[in-house]
Amino acid sequence: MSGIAIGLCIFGFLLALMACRVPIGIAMFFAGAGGYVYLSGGETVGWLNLLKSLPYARLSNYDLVVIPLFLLMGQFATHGGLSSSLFRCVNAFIGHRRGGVAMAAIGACAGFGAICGSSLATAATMGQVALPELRRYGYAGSLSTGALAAGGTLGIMIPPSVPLVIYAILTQESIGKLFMAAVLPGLIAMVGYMLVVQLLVRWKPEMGPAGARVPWAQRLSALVQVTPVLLVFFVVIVGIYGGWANPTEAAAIGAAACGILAVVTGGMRWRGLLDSALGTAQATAMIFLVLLGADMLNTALALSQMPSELAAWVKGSGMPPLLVLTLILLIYILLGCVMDSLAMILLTIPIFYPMVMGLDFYGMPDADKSIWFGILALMVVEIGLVHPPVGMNVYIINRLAKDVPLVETFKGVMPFLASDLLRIVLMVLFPSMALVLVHSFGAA
Amino acid sequence: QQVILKVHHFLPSTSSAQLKLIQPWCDKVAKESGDRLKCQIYPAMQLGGTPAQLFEQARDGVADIVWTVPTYAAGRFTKSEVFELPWMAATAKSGSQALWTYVDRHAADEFKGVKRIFMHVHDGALFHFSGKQPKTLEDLKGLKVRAATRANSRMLAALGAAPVQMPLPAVPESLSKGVVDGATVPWEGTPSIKLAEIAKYHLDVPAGAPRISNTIFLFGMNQAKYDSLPADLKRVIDANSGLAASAWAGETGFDAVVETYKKAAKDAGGVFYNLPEAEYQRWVKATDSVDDDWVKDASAKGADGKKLLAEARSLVQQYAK
Amino acid sequence: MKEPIAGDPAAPLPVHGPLGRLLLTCGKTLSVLGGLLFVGLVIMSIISIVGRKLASAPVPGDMEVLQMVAAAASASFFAYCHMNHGDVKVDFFTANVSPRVNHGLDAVGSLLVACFGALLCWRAGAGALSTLEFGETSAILGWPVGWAQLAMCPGLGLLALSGLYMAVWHLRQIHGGSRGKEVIA
Ligand code: NA
Ligand code: NA
Repeated sequence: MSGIAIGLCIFGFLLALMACRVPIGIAMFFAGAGGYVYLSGGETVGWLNLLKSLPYARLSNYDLVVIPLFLLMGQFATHGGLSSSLFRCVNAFIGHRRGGVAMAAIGACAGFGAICGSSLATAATMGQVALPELRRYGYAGSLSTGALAAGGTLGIMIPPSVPLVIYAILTQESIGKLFMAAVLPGLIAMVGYMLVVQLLVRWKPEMGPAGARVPWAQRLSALVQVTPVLLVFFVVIVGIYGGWANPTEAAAIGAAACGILAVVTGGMRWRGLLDSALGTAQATAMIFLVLLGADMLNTALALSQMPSELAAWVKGSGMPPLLVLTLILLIYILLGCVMDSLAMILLTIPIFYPMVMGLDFYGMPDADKSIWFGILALMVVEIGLVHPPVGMNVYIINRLAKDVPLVETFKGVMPFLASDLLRIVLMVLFPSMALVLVHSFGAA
Repeated sequence: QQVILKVHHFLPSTSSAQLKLIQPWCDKVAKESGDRLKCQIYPAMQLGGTPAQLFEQARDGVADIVWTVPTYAAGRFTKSEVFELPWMAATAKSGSQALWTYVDRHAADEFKGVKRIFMHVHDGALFHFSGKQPKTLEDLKGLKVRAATRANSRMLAALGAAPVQMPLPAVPESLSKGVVDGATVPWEGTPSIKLAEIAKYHLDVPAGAPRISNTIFLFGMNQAKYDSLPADLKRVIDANSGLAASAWAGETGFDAVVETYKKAAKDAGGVFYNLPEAEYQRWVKATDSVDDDWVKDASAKGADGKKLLAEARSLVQQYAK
Repeated sequence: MKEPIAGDPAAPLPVHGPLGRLLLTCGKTLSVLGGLLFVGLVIMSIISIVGRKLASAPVPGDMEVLQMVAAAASASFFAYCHMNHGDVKVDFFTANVSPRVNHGLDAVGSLLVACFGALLCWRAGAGALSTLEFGETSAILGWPVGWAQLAMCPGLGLLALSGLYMAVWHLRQIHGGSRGKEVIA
């Protein structure tokens, strides 16, 4: 059998296991193990010996430690009430406009995304804070939930971002460069969502009435309250990119800063600390279990030589690079219908990355291509969180908004999804959206 | 009957280790065996694990052949580590031959379960600085310098610098961001990380003197896999193993490229400085404690550290002739 | 990415008997301890960064300590996550199937989790023993790496037990599920 054929068998087995509700990490592990043993001629000794090194190699990876540290940072931010002060601040400035409270929710999501590495946590945390306010001012159910579900994706679009860390580790790319590259597209996403709100309330003003006007004195005091959050973001991103801390250290600084803030301004005590520890542990377990499975799977795929054969085949087929890229993005959208973002990155990057790197896009050098594709992949897996049938953000927000039917929420999210798709197309056409910041702050 | 050899290593497929050592060796045994020995090379740890686990993978048969720095697993190859002490070899060829013979005579037990095909050192590290140009021990005091190995790290500390251990690919960014002031890297390692463009000041020993530090490498095969080969294929492997193969690895992989890479650094505006003999002797003196530390480590493992160190140095002398 | 959501009202509250509660307590304790270890690593990193910036004196071997502790801490998170139904899974294809079938499939899933935990516990332990035997240490502090590898085993072992327990638990729900209530295992 050729490498591609064996690889396809492994994937078939994997998909069958996953469809039967086997946890994704476990499914990857056993599909990979099956492939590995088959490729070793049915010999299990080599496989058992490989397992001696696999768990420690993965769990002791220095770069990977940023994930629990960023999760800890997000937990501190949640338990320290930073989310509500963020929302209060943005709302004080723009809440009095038409649709302003929804825009404030989006802005606050972006702010929270700057200190939290995950989308669902952002959606859930900001949902708890902003939904009651949105409903109090009489915002339409679809707009309230739609804006929050979409806004939640800013949690991974704006760095720090767990899927980007995984991408960096899989492709030996620099975490700092990827984070820097994600800043501008993240801000563009935020502005895009706000524009969608504006268009909606212009079309149907009753969907998003204006909130109360807040006097300047109160605005300023609200701003003072969130300064620490901005400071933390600044320290983390600039610390990594400026080079005086590596990503792991920057994450530690961020976690420490959020922890201190949570204690000083948010009144976090022992209970909150223990809850944060437990929350971090749980989120880490989910991610690392998938990672351990992916290690086994990717080792088997490397052994089958499927990724390199496939990349060579695509390169030799003479297909236009943009067509290949479009197909890849469509596969992501399709996978996003059933799978979560992290698993998608782990599953596909080992296959797609060599393919993309072998093709020529606008004559870009490899270093740029690798960053650009990372941001593109992030954007396209992130929309899987809001599109039907299983957009996780939509479910989370919908659970919080008991009076809004799920269909209503999915309808509400559609205009935001349209802005996502538009942004992805722009990103494909103009790679400089991701690269400009990397280049202008790059190594002199 | 074709035999597939899974070759695992930790550098990218475009690295000179793969292009100049692993691939040519594989091509040669393929040719001499009439294509009955065929390598499948897995670069960049594609088969899982960490670089420190590569030796164990060869011993366990996870891979058939590995190319690795055994001392990444610190504390396990203490006797062989002697070649990572400061001021050992002036060229990769002499150092590699001395390493092979020394391990054969004194440290074969450290590699049990793995058939050593060849062993080598690199062309010897030198200092590269970006913003400063230290010329004396006093200038070096307090500078943050990237270290490659444990012995290298101890040496930098003995010289008064602050060692920062990091993998080679992290060097350019750390240098340009000022995380470190300088790095110890052999010439062979400079092009892959474009070091000459970032670090302009190259500080080296007097011409022909033993270089500041080194790293040992092993190209080795799972013993059981070797034993399972038919006699004629064993002969092909044997013909490409040992002292001659080690000399070849040191020479073609490292000594042969030094002049080219030096010239590239010069063209990039590099400033070269060789320590004058008197200053060099001060540096050598300053690092005596590193030798002593190693002698203690080796003696703790039941070896005669003093004798082994003397033997290693005299082997280098012998092959340098 | 899935994450546990604080105060999620719709999260199911599984009912457990004494054995289940014991496993839950063990898992939760390990998780909290591991989480606190990460808090400790944060503190160590801060001390190291400040020391490096102000005095060119980082905590010696901070990187290797972080790696060794992180491995042990991370491995201790898995068991509680599984018992808490925290696994990332695809439930799209089985969303409209009866709860009994789903419990049956989940029983198989949990059994595979148990195999995974047992396998990794065994192999990580074997790896630890050979690392200890050959005296491999960390580069700067000279700490034996094998102990860090061995410290992963309790968490992985507990994952195996939890998987086994949850497999039985799901099997029992198949019968209980038809009567519309959860059964205490
Ligand atoms: Na984020
Ligand atoms: Na989805």
